[in-house]
Amino acid sequence: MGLLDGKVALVTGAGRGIGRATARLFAREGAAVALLSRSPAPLDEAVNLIKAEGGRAVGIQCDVLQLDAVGPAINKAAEAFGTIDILVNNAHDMSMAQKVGQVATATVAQLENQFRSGPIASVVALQTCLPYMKRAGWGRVINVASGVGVRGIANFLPYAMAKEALRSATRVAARELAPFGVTVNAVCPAADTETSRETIASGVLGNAAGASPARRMGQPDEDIAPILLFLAGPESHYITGYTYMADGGSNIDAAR
Amino acid sequence: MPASGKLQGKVAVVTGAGQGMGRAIARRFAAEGAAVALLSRSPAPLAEAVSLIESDGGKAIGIRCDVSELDTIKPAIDEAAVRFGTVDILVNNAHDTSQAAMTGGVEKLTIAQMEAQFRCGPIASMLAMQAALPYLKRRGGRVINLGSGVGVHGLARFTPYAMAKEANRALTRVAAREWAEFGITVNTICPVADTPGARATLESGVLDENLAPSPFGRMGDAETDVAPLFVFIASDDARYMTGYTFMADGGGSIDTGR
Repeated sequence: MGLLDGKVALVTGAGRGIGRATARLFAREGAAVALLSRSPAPLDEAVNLIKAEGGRAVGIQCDVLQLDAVGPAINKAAEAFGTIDILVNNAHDMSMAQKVGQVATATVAQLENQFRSGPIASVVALQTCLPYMKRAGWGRVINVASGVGVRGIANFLPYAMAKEALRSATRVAARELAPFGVTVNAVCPAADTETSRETIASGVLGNAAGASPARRMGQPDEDIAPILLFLAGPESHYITGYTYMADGGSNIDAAR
Repeated sequence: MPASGKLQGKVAVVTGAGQGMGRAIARRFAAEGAAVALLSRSPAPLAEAVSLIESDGGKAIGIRCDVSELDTIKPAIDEAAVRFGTVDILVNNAHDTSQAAMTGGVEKLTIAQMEAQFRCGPIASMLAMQAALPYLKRRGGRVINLGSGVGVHGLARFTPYAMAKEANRALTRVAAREWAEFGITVNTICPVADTPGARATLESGVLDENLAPSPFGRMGDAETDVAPLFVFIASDDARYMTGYTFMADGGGSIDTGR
């Protein structure tokens, strides 16, 4: 028996990192998983990994920055598995050139890129999934936000602004969609991924990341994905609109 | 309300100052001794607001500026600095708060709506801050961004507005960290004031059960209840507070307002 038996989940940005770990765990828990990613090679690898473990998965290429492509990609996933029950908005343009910028020098183009790839694409994805969730009278939406936005870390203006807009959309959507049996929550992970290693190696974070009481970064598979699983599963039905800090306690007392 | 010259010798720029909250802020700032540059896209209310301040004995100029036209922001800020010598205080109050622009349920909301609210709010505010920075650095400065309880709480049917206003608050926090070394504080105020804009929103019925009621049982008066908080945050007295959000809502957000 899996926690997500019979459910269909869609994870954006699922080629690697937290997206891949989430897709894998959801598949192990019995969900059929549609993986969306803009990069074909990591996507194929992730899908094959899940299938090799006996899971059900389909890979669909989708760059969420191409907003017109988001709806069709999701509908394709729904065609493959019959519906969508769980949406994880994890994709975001994480390139240093886009997400890093100081208030004094960040550009309008950077802000627009980060707003598009994050909160705007996530709303479009939610809008596309909603008819399926309403039909089922059950749905889970999990938006991946960031402690960088919650705390407003220096040098990360575009990213911080976009991630906080996403948390705001989470709260509004939670209120509006509760009558349909759909919960909407945000998770802010601090995970050891290729992307976070690149960010830390760049030195631009300085010591702003803050030490976690856990004294280590989270591992996507063991530490982060299980939190998304809880929010995707049946046991979280009375939890909506909230932000879960999956960060080893790095934001104790500031995390809301 | 008695003035005590808390902003004597300061130069303030207030965007969206033609009416409502922006006008009230500009008037209080002028009453406290600041020279105030009022920016507004609507010429008639702008001229009226400037005249009001002048007839009260205050120093004010009006500059036409629609913050949705991003290219016009820097010239407007520079003009204010030319007229009054510098800019010490920037209040990013302007925002397209027409019902059509700010309301939209998650289900039906359009990409264009979200983009427009991001432009007139957080994107325009960042550009205004960038334009003001060289002046603000000269003798320490104050930036006040307008957030909203609508974003803090995430009120239903206000998706584009809520998203944009929370991006403003993130802008505030990042800027507070980056600009503290220049003696510049950056804070957010979330007002609930009885303004024409707020009345239009209330009358539309779209807020209904959403609105967090104030324990005072009334909306704030823009000038006497809410604007004094802007004066305090803009004054020297608030020099050790930065990056924070202040709810000017009569206690409507007790326990959730941060």
